[in-house]
Amino acid sequence: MNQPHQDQISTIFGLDPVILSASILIITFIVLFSDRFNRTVITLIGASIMIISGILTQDQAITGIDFNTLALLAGMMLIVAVIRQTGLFEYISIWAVHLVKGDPRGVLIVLSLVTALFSAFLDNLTTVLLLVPIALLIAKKLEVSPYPFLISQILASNIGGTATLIGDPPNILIGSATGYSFMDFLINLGPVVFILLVLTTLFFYFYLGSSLQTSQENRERIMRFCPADSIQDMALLKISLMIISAVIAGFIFGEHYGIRPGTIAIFGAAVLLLLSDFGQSSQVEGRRVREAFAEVEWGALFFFMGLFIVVHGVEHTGILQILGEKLIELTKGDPQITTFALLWLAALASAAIDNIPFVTTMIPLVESMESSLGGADAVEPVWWSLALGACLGGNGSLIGAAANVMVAGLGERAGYPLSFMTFIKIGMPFMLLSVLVANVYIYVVYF
Amino acid sequence: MDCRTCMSPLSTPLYTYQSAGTVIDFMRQHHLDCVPIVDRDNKFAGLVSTEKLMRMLLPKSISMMRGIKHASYLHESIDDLQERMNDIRSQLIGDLLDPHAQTVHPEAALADALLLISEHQNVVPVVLDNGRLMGAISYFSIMHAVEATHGKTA
Repeated sequence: MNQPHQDQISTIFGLDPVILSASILIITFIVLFSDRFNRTVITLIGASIMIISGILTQDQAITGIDFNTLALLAGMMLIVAVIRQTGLFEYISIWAVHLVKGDPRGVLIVLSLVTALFSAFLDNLTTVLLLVPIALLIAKKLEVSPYPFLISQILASNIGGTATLIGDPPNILIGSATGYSFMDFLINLGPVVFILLVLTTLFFYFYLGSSLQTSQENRERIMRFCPADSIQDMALLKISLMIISAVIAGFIFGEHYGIRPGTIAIFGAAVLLLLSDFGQSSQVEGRRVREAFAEVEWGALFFFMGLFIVVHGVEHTGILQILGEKLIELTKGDPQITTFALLWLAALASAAIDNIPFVTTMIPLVESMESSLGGADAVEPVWWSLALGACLGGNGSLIGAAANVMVAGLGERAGYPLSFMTFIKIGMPFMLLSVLVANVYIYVVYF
Repeated sequence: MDCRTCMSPLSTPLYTYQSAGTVIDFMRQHHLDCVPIVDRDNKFAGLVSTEKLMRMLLPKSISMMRGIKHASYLHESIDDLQERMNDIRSQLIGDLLDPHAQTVHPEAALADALLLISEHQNVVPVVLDNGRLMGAISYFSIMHAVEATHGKTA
C-alpha cells in the first residue's frame, strides 16, 4: 500500500484529512445502510466530496477505481443478457424438474442445485430473477407451499456464489485486489461449498421439503412442460455456449499470460455480440447490441466506482493502516485468530449490512496487515475467510444480500410475502452452521 | 386546440368497487382497449386495459416479471385459461386498474395528449384539478372532433 504523508494532503479549510475522510466514509455508509436513498447516488456524492474536499485529486480518485472489477461485472452482464435470449436457463431448469418426475421434494432440491450452479457462474441477482418465477410456477402447479422454494432459492444462491471468482461481488473484489485466479477460488473455496451443498440438500430434503405433498395429477401437469421448447435460438445458443466456455477457459488459463478476468469477460462479451448477429443487417445488429447494453446494470457499476473512490480516500489518508495495526494488536498478530475473527466478523456484518461496501473497506485493511501476519502466504487464509464470511453471511437475514431482497420482492408480487422474521428463523441458524463448517474447514486445511 | 374540445364525455362511469366482470363485459360490448375508472366520489382512480387483462391470463409468477420474453416450455390446457379468466372476473375493478396512468387537464394543449397516446397509453383520461374525471381522449375521439368541426365549417 502506498502510504501517503498526511501533510501532503491539502484539504478544504485546512481540516484534518484523517477526520475528514473518516467522516465522509462513515456518513456515506450510514446513509447507505439506512436504505432510504439510492445507493449509487449516495456513493457518487461521497466520492465527489472526497475530491471536492481535497482528500483526493481527480487523478488520484481514478487510480482508486478497480477497472478489473468493473470490466468483469460489465462483461458478465452483457454475456448473460445475450444468453438469456436463447432460453438455456429455462431449458436446464425444466429438464432438471423432469429428472425428478415432478416429485415436490425432488423439485425443491434440483431447482436449488441449479440455482447454486448458476450462481457460481452468474451474479446471484440474475440467477434468482431467472429461477424464482419458474420455482413459483411449479409450486403453484403442484399445489404446494411456495415458501420452501423461496427460502431454498436464497440459501442456494448465496452458497453457490461463494464457490468461484465470479460468483459473488465480494469474491470479484477480493480476486481483483489479491490477484487470486479463478482456479485459486475454485480450489480453495470449491470443496467447502461442495460440503455445504451436500448438507444443504439434506436440510432441504428432511426439513424444508418434508411437508411438500402433491397428487399424481399435479405431477403430470409439470411433466407436460417441455424443456426442448424453451430453446428460442439454437444458433445463438451454440455460439453462446462456445463463448462462455472460452471465457471460463480464459479465466483459468489467462493468469499464465497476465491477462486479467476483466479483460477476458469484456473481450468475450464483445465477441459474443459480434457473432450473435453476424451476417444480419446493420439495423438488426444495432438493435441486439442496444438491447444487450440496456440490460447492463449501469447503476451497479457506478455504485462500485463511487465506493472505490470513497474507500480509496480513507486509504489515502492512512486510517485503514492504523485500523489494521489496531486489529493486529487485538489478535496479537496471530494469523489463526485473525482469520477466524475476520470470518465471523464478515459473516455477522454481511447478515446485517450490504457486504459490498464492507468487503471493499476490509480489503485495504487486510492488505495493511499482510506484513505483520508474516507475508502473502500467511495472509491467504485471511482472504478466504473474508470471502466465505461475506458470501455465506448473506444467508443470515433477508437483507443480507441483494438476491434475498429480490426473492422476497418476487414472492410478494406473486402473492406470497416472505417476512423478515420467517426467513431469519431459518436463515440465521443455517448461516451460523455453515460459517461453523467453514471455520472447521479453514482450520483443517490451513492450520 | 385544447383537450376539452377533443375528448369524449363519459356517460356511464365504471366504479372501482364493481366486479371485474362488469368492466370486461363493457369493454367487450364497446370494443374498447382501455377504460378509465372512478372511485365512489367520481374521482379518477386509474385505467383498465386489455394489455393488463392479457398479462393476467398468464400464470402470476410469469406475468409479475416484465423481463420474461418467452415461456415456451409452458404447455397449458384451455381449462387453465378458463380457471384464470374466472379468477379475474371474481376480482374487483380496483384490483385490475393501473393507478399510475397519466392524465391531462381539460385546458391542456391537445399535443400533450397526443404525446401520451403515442408513447404510453391508448387512451388519456381528462381530469379536473379536483380529480374528477370529465372524459377521455383517444384517436377516435379526436377524429370525431375533427369531423364535427368540418361539418360545422361546411
